[in-house]
Amino acid sequence: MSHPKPPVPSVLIIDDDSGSREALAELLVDEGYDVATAEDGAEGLAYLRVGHRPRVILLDLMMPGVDGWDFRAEQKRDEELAHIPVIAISAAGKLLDADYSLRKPIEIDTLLTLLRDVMGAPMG
Amino acid sequence: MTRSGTAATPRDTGDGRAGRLLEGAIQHLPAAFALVEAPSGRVLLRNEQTTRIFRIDGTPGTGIAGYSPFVGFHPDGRQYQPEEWPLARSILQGEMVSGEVAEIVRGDGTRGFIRMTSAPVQDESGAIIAGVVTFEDVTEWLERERAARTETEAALKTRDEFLAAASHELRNPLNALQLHLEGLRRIARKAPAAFSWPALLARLDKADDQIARLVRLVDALLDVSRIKDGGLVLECDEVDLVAIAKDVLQLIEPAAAGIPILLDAPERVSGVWDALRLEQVLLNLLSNALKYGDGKPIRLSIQARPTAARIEIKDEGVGMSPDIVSRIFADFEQLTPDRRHGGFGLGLWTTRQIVSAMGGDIHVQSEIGKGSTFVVDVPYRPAATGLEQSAHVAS
Repeated sequence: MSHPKPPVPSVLIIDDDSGSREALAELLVDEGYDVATAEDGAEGLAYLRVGHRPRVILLDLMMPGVDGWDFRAEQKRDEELAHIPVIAISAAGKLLDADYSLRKPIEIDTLLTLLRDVMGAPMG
Repeated sequence: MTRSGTAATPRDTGDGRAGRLLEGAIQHLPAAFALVEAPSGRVLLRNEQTTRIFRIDGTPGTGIAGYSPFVGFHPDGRQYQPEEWPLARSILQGEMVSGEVAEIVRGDGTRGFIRMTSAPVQDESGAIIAGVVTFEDVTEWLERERAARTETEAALKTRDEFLAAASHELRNPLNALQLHLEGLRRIARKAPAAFSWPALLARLDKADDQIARLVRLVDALLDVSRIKDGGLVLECDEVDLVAIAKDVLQLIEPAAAGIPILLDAPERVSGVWDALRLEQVLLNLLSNALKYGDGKPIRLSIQARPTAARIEIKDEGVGMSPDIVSRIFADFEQLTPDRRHGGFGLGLWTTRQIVSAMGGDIHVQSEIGKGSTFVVDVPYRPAATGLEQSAHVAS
């Protein structure tokens, strides 16, 4: 690898469903990831625009306000943010230009393998 | 049913009566009938129905070539050539044709559909000496069939949308539940000693919450199914709306998580209502207000108006665009592609069904960024029709 790894790989979860969001965050924290959460696309964009750069974004699609599709479009328009890989996680609908897509309920092993592939193994 | 030609022929009494009887029967057949000579195709006998169905005056020209005034089309849109009509095929090739449907252009230019059945008539040696055809106008029947099919397809589409909506609604709590359990399993495998009992209990409580959510969703989905199948049956009794509202506020308090819900109501507003269904309406609308209310206070007001009680639930949250407002009560809309900005569940649909069953009305005023106000008017008594049987008025 040519670039240095950050100390703890960080993940941003964007999901309006608090149950799914919190459960996924807890599991990923237990797995050693640094996790941030946002309730919708607008909150996710705000988090990124103050300078946070997660290694991966886990993105729900159907959300009120700025939804997953809008978020992705906005993210790709922003050169600073466009490179962050997105894993779409949805109960319904598809994001065609996501880097990866998973369907709820999530297959955990698949997600963890995907995260490792995208950003390397977590600490701890 | 097949009969030999001999058995079906009226007995010839020698005075031509049998022939007249046969011709009379043919003229009065409910279907069009024609008997033609083979192989020429010259018409020997036909009834009035042939003229009535095709609306062509006079006898067609000689032979099969004379069928050209009859304009018909195959299902693929190709026009019938004279030798392609069932009768022509029967006398030329001995083909039996059963129930072939063609679109026709009648003599007056209108279009319709006929169903044709034809057969060759053979002599003792098997040579084709004639052909018979019957046909009927099936235009109206086809139109009815088509309408029925459209209706069935619409019903199937609704059912599919319902199943898709159900599946979508159930996936979120299932996902959360699975994540909690999988998280616990991973800890148990990797580092059970690092996990405390209180932490375990907290995780189990969260898993429990998701189960409770699943149960509520299944109940809501069953409600939708019930309403779709047979409408709502209301169990009405004289009740106090304000008391119901106070009960609901207690019920919803944990979900409100500190967000104030302010009740503005007179001491009592009585009417003949289904208390459980009213409770459901209030719960649905308040849950909605909490979900989209941006954490700001919610106002629940109840007024006794002249003909109906009015319930208003006002939040100061995210609000909705006029486009969404126009569609939020519509049938299972949340999964249509253009509804992805919505995110409302089945709750509002069910709410509207309940309010309608009560003879009431529900509408919403909303503005993006300023919040929404849902207004429900429920008449004090159920409508005179339909609900009388289940209305028990306390006297």
